[in-house]
Amino acid sequence: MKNCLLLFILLTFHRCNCFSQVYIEPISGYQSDIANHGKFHQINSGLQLSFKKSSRYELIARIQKSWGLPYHAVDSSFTANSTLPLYEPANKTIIAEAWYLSLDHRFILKSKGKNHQFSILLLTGISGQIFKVNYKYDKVNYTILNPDQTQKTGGVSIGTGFEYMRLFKNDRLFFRLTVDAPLMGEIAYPSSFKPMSLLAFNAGYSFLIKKKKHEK
Amino acid sequence: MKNKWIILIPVSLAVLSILMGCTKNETKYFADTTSNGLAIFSNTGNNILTGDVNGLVWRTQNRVTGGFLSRSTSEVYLTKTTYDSSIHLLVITWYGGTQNFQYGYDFISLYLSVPSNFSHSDLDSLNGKRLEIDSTKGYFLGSISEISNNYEIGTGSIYFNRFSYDPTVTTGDTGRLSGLLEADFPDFKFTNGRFDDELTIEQIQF
Repeated sequence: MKNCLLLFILLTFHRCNCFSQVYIEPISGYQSDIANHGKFHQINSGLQLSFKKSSRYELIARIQKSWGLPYHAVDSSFTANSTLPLYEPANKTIIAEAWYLSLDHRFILKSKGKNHQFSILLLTGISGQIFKVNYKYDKVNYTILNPDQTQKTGGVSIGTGFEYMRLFKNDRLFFRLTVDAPLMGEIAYPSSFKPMSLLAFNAGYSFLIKKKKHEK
Repeated sequence: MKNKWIILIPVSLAVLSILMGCTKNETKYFADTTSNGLAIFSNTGNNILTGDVNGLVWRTQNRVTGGFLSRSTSEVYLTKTTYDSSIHLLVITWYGGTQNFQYGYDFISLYLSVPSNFSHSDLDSLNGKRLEIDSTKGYFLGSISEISNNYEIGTGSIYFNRFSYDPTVTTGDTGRLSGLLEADFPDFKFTNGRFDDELTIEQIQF
């Protein structure tokens, strides 16, 4: 994890020269998992630094945490003890969370409007996912059949998306729709879920924090 | 002469590795995080039984198949036996051991009374059944070398979550045996037992 963070910082600063226009962009939004038939949903919060390299391209360093919303389901638990009912439902709650360290690419499309900008996004980074599983049932007398367990996975994260940006004098407001490919990482345990592929809708605001040298 | 050895050694090693390297461990152990050392209760064909014996974890030996020079082993076998020409019993035996005596000759067996004409096509009739195993319906027989050298007879209960066998199936599962069991023996208790076995012609011996 420390190595990944170090690599992330080095790559970011290596690729960002002092002639870039720099924005700081808090983002927030909502995402839904499409790999598990919409079971898991998250609220996103993140911060990114955007380095405007040219009028057509920006490099973005993003750090994001996605806070899981609980998913409820019922599994089966059984007992061999004949003095008790054979079956009892086991209430299951799964909270699936994710984090991202990403170097994203904003390819700006030509636009007729002066204050409007459309971009294609390419998201490349690393990501981790954690599925926190909790059961409520009679743990003394019953045993759950094929139980889920808390799992972690992570790996290279790749995604793409589309972004609309409203330009103001210095700052910018943007909305983006992105989708991540499923993580390369595997879940070795026989779970009822697999690594998430997330469809996200986020909004953010760009604050200009450093102008180009000739604009000073 | 030197050239001869250069060819002979790699060829011999390749043949030997093919002969010895084709074994496959078909047991999958997934730890139950709520029970110290036990496997999860599953019905997906993990080929394992685990349970507590007086606080020790008891588990079956691995199911190993293939291999030209090594013998295949299974954790469970199903047989039928008859006493006094009138009492017919289905016998399910799991072989294993505790952590200290793993892969020994310990076993837990279920002897279950069945009709005289009971055949492997009748195994499905036990699917989903929970049975109280007392002296009338049958009994458990156990041998745990860490506790005693004797075979012990016990009572208890068993639940067959899945019990099926169809030898005519050519691809996929031919059968499945999964469930829970609890048994009381004079010198030990077998508790929290959970089993999940694939059944093939290797395991059904009647």
